[in-house]
Amino acid sequence: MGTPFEDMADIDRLVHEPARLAITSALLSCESADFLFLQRITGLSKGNLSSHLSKLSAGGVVGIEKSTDGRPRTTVRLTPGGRVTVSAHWDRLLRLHEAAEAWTDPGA
Amino acid sequence: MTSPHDIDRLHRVRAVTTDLGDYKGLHLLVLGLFLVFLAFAAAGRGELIAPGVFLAAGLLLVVGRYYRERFGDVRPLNTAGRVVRRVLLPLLFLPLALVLITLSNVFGLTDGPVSVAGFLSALLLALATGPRWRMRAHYPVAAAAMALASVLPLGVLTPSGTHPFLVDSPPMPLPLALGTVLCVCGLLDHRTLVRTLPPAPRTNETD
Repeated sequence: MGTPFEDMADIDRLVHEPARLAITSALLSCESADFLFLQRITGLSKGNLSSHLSKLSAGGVVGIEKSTDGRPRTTVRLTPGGRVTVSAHWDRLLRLHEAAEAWTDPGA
Repeated sequence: MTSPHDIDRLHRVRAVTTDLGDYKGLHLLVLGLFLVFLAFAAAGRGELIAPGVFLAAGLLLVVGRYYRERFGDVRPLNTAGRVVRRVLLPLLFLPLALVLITLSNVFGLTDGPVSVAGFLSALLLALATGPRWRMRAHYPVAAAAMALASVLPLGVLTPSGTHPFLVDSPPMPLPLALGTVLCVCGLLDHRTLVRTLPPAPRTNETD
């Protein structure tokens, strides 16, 4: 663990983008989620959500499964590596959050 | 940089995702309404119970479909903590309930000034919903209020000396109180869900 500034420099940009952070945070709390749930979590349109999921999938963070039996359904889950990445990202975020709250202006 | 406000929102998202089923409060609303129905209809009008059960079961199916189509679904993580909360804690309730019921019979409390059944209902409410009450403070509050109302000797205020929760003529106060609690808590859960998951933008694309 480095200083807060080193932590900020190490932030994973793929995961940290606000919409993708909401998606991965939700997925970190469950085994898998369907497309509609992720849409409700993020408030994104279907096209935008698909675009973010494609980026996460290309980065190996999530796995996407499409079932066509009956009603078409898209299920998304974190890959094992993605779960480690997102957990580490959350730890870093919480550390930065605590550091920001504890910080006092030396000039004050 | 993610602001504290965003962190709070992400915490809400994680809490709702972890226990999505718990926030689908309209299920509880249906159960609560069924209990209220029982409180008014059960005593002396048993023929109404079967249609009431079918109606409640039908409403639960409709509510389940509504949630699936409006909010989507998640498959929860089966962690050890979740198994303890979902299985072991409610299972612990059974022997505890048996002990308390036996003791109340031994000490002649079945029609006394306090209500063991009311206390057990409050305990079950707390066990079935706890201990993750971060965004569901209404459950410990409701359970504590019901437990307090059950153990206070309110029977001394009634002409018969019986606690109001033990009255078995309609409207029966215990199912009425429990049903009302479930209705209110269910609506509050649903409100949390709706506030955390805003409506998805409508487009013509398919997923």
